[in-house]
Amino acid sequence: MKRLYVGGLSHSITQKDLRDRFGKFGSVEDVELRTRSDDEGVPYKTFGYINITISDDDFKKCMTVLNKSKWKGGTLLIEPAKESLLQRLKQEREARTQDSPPATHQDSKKKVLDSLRSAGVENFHMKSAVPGTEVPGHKEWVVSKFGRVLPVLNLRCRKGSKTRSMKYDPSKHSHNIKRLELSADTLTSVTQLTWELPGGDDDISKKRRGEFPPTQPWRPKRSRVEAAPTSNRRSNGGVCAGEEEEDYDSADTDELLASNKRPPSSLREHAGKGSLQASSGKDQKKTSSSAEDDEDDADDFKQSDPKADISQQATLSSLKSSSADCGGGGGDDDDDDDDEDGDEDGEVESDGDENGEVESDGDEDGELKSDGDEDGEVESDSDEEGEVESDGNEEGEVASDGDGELESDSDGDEDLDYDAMFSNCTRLEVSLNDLQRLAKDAETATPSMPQPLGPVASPGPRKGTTPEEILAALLEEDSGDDVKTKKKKKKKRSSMWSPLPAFQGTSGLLGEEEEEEEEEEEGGGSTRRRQDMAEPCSISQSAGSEPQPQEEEKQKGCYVSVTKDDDDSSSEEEEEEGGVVTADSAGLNQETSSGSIEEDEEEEGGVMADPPALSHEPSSGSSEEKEEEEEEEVAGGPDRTLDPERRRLDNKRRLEAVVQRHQQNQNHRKLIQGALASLDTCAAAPGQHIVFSSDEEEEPDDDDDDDDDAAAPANQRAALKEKDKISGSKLFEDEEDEEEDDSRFQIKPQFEGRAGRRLMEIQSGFGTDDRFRMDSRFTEEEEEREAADEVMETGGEEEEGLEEERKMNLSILQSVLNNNPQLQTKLKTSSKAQTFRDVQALHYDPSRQEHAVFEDKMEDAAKEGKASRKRKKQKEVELPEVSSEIYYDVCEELKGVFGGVGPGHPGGGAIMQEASSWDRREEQQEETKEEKEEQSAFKFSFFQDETQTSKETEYQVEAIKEPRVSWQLESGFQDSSSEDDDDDDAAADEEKVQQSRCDPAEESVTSSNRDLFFYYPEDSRLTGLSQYPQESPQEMHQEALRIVGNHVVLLW
Amino acid sequence: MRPLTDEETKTMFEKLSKYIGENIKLLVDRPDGGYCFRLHNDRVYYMSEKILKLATNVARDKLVSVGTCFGKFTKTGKFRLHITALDFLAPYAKFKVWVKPGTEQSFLYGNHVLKSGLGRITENTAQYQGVVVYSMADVPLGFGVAAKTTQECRRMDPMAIVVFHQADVGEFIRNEDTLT
Repeated sequence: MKRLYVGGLSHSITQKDLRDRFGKFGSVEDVELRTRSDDEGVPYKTFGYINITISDDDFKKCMTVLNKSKWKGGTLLIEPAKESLLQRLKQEREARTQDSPPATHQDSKKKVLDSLRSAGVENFHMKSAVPGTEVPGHKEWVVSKFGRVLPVLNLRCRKGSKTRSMKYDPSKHSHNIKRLELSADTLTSVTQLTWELPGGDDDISKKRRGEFPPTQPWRPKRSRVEAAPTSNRRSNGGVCAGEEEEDYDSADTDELLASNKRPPSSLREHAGKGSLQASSGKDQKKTSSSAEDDEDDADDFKQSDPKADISQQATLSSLKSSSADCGGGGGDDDDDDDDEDGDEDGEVESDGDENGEVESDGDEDGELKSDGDEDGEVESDSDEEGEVESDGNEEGEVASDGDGELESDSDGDEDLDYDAMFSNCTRLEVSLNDLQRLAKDAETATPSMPQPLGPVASPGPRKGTTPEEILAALLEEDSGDDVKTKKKKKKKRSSMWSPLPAFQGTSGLLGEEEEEEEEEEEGGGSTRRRQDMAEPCSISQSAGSEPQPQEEEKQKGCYVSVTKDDDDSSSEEEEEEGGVVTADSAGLNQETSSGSIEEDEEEEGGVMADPPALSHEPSSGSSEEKEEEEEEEVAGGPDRTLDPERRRLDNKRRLEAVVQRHQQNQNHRKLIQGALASLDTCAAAPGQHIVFSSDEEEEPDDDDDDDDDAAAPANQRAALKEKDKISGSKLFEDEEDEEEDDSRFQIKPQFEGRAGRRLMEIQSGFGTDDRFRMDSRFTEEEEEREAADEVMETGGEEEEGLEEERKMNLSILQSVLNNNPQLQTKLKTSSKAQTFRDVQALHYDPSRQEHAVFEDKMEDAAKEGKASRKRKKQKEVELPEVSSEIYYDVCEELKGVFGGVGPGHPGGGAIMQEASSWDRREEQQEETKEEKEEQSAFKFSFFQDETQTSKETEYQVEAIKEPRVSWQLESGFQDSSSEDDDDDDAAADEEKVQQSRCDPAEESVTSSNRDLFFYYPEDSRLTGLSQYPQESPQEMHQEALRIVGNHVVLLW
Repeated sequence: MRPLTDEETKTMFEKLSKYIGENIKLLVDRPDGGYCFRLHNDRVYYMSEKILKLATNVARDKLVSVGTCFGKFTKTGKFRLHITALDFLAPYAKFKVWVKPGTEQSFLYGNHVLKSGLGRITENTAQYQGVVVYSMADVPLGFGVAAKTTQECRRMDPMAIVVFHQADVGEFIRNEDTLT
């Protein structure tokens, strides 16, 4: 069967016609006729398809017969055509049904799966396949995200009327694929979807559920200070806990004191203090006359005392009052005594200057007052100790047991140091005699005392500073077996130990010590101790006080042990004595605890262990109060009353500085007075005034104070300044100004740190008054110590490390830069550093070297002036050199021309030249002058000839070219010439007037020079010339003048 | 936090020396106290020894920043200067470039400095010399690298780049989260 296309049919042909026509060659099965018609419906083309079963021969015959044959007005065009679509489909279907007996859908799926599996795809997943890789053997399968194998889809999408198919490659859209995890959650029912919050039994979750705890009554908050000790106490859980808790909660030291069962002792102490006070007052009176200056100052301070006490040291005063309550007003008495002393001394010199600076330091009154003399010391200390002492009875053990021993100890220690001695005294109930004696001793000792007592320097000569010594001492003690004696000895030792300086730096022992302490405190340690110790108070104290410092130690982490030696010894004893040790170790522990407290405190203050302080503190022993103090200190309270020794030292230094300054001031005053007096006498002489140049300001006050300190840099500065002055003061030196500004806002070294801040505050109270500026000497010693301590603490290692690092850095830098930067000295201050100077404070101090700059050296200046004046004159007189160049040359012809002019009017020629000189003022050369001279002489000779040829024209030319002759200007000559002319022309007159008019204007600058430049009076040349008009005949003159007059008119 | 190794120090100093030359000495060996460089999180911090001591109390992972960050070491071991170092380097800068007020903003947005925006430039600036960029009011704006020598800059056309942008104070805002 074939399908034929028949084209070129006429429009009238029907299917039947076709069928008939092709029926000859085969059986026609189907005829299909198509007619194409244009827009108007007119058919223009008709063709048809014929399905015919035909053999090839018939087909060939048919083609030959019918192809291109004319039929009903058309040429047939027969071609084999493609099978029709329907036919083809039908055929395909038939073929399919025949060929592939039903391959089911399931099978194909399975097949695909199998084939995929063979390609390494498991459950449509291909492991470790990059997205985009084709599955081998399956073109349309691609690995997508998550290793998932997906088919490449051909999608047909329709946009508007167009349809287009699109290939969807899942690997290209892998980012769109999201893995949907099958959630294993069981479906929650609606009833379960209520607000039910999971949670435990804690408060918050309960509150969330709406269950609130029953309301509790409001409890007052505890202040932070009390909180710590209380908690400690609780945790420690001693027998005394219940009782003491209340005390601490009440936050009053009164009650704390009251809780201790030993008022009598404290009373006794205070009474002792009072008497002591009185005696000291007397002593002071005695000595007051000797040290007047000091006392004057001290009195000033004293007056301000009460205020300062009230304002600044509330806590301290409260403590005082408490002690007063408890101990019969000992502390108050002290205060009163102080004031009385101050009044009695009378003679209050209202110096004012120094007053303010130390004033605000508060309760240092006694010390300030007593700077020179020892009694004051006693007083002040008793002040503070009164406070401490009131609690001191808590310790009990040492105080009660070791009266005699300690006394003796104090006697023995007397020669050591008055500080140590003193602290020892206060700890005990020392008799009045004792104290007086002490005072006397100390008085003798004081002058030799190094005043700003360096903490580092002091411990040198003392015994037992090294651990070896202590150990040796301990071993000695250990030889005795009896526990009782041991105990005693220990006490002795403790008292002995007290003046010992701090031993620092053996950090290796630290762990051991701490452990030991812990051992002691925890467990049954407290009870054991109680049995051993007689006084319950002491136990309670030890129980209460020990944990606190320890905790603090732990908190601090860095712990430089002061009590190390002690602890060491205790541990050793333990080892040796075995079972018996408990009591002793407990006792020791108490010591250590107190020691550690001190140490803590010292660390807080950042101060190296101070021997006097050490000796003092175990005696006071009221660790509870210590704690509070510490807390206060931590809280940053302004008062540093805690370490009286240190404070005293500070104050001593200050007072010293004040006195020094006072003396300096007086000295200055004297010097100035002297200088002024001498000035006054000389004042009459002219040129002797001292002029204060305003730009050279005074050096700042800091230098003023400590000349000796700052002398060197100040001198340098002065030298610099001088140099500047010599080199010429520059008006606008930006850089310097900037520097100055910078330095103005830099923090001065003495105001750095905590103590510095305080100093700053104090100073700021006085505004910018220069007189009250404070320098580093007024800072508290503490800071120095702090710094020193820091250095000690950090140890050499870090410093060295950093230093090394720096060196290494520099070496690397050197290698980088290929030159060698040298390590500078660390504290190299630029000598050029400008300091800010207050203009208000500017005054001249004749005593100071650098102020010599301010003095004007009049004589020198005068000398210089004279010399310079002379020089100036000389300069003026000197005639400037004249160059040898010739600007103007006169040729022979011109001479001839001139000669021609000359004879008629010699005088007129001269005037003519003058006229030209007004026009242009050329510099005249000597040589030309000489030439002129010759010319004139020449001219003169020509005059005799009386040749007159073409005068006028020549003249015109000459009038321009003729060089100006300056000597014509000389008035004398002029006059003479004019005088000679009897009948002066109008022109000549005019010229003169003009000359006089022009002269001042144009020649004023050079006139003096010019007058002297070429000529001097009695110049032979001039005289020669001046003679010439006399010789010349009158007519010539006149004519020449007339002609010249014409020219002049022309020229002007 | 640790001190820099020799190599790191060298790398850093080489970079710094491009800007301040031998003035690094003044950073390392200051007259006003000890200062040092420390490496932390690949960043180099410049701090006083006092702060260094304080910083030892902070755990390493908790320490975000200490002192002044000078820059960081890249993964390739190069040192990249941060704008935070400007305060320390600007005073010692050897070569400076002043930009005109109009270009200031452009520079602060991270663009290079064109010839048209060049106000002044230090004489004898070499090519690829590190420079500190200032406003005409002498406010340091950032770091740059001279693209041309001073002489070449004279006859450049106005749109040519004369200073490559390295860091600018605009980064304090733009890179606020990464600047430590």
